[in-house]
Amino acid sequence: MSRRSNAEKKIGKPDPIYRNRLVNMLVNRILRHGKKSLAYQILYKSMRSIKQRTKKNPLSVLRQAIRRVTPNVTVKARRVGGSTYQVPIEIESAQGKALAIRWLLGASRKRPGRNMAFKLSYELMDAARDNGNAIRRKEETHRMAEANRAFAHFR
Amino acid sequence: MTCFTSSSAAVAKRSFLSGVSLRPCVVNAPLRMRKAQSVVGSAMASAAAAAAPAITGEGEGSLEQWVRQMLPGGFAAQRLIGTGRRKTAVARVVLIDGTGQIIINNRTAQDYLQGNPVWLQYVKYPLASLGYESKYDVIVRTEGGGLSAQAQAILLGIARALIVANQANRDPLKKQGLLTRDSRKVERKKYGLLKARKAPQYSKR
Repeated sequence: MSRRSNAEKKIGKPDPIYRNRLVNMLVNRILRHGKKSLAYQILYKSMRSIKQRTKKNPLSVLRQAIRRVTPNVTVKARRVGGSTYQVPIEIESAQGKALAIRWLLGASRKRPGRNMAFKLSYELMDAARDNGNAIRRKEETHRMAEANRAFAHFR
Repeated sequence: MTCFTSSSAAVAKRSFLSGVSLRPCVVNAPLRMRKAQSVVGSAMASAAAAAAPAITGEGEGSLEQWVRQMLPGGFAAQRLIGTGRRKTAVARVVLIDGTGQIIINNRTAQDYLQGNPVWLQYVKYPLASLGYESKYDVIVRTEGGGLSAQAQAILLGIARALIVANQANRDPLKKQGLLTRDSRKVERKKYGLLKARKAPQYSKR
């Protein structure tokens, strides 16, 4: 990598049905083994079932879920003088969003249930209502950051 | 006509998810209309019948006939032609004045691209971005590569044909990056390696 210039931030493209970049971000992270159309199917199916169950705009449910899961701080291990400290660090919005998506998907993959579309839709609805595993994950990180507040100056 | 082009996202989505092809409803209706137009309108159509066009291939017989009629002298003889490539796919694209139908290899776009909204979006994008959705008919002959690569090759082909149609289209298309040939290709395998980059496990002794 050349050190002369910083790489430009890339902005994702909107998806074909909801015309939304967030949706495409999610699809690209559902994607496994290059099966993109399967990833799209999973997401659209779960969006439809969200629409059926909540009678709300699935996009707004999705946004709400991601907003709820997005963490403000996280901890990072840092070695100072031989011992490792968990140093709390504030997160920027883009990174927070990426974390939120990762956690949501991780939580829905771990859920018991029939298929990914089904699990994802329930995880999203749970997260939008402020419970579910992804939310717990966020709270745990916040707790860790709070507990290690004393080391914040190591940053 | 609406069922044919199906620019409505809802239709595309439904067929994509359930895997139901919309073909039967698609093929016949618009064709009859088109034929009526061409009979009334143009001496070009009769010329088409005389000069045997070089399009072959199976698919809907009537659609194939229509394509022949619209392309006197085959693809290369057309004015608004553009060639697009992506990976190993090649697409020859011809624009003719029309109503926004897209025909790929003698099949409708909806049929050929399996109703996949992503691929259909690629194909429609250059025309839609200039607001020409229903100004041109698009006839495509494409080979090589997979469907996704073909769809992106068609995108490039349409964009290039639009420049031939009007030089003023160049700037807006360029700005959206539609004229850039995606030069990524499969990297060759190297000797001594398992794939292009994958090396056998290293053991010190």
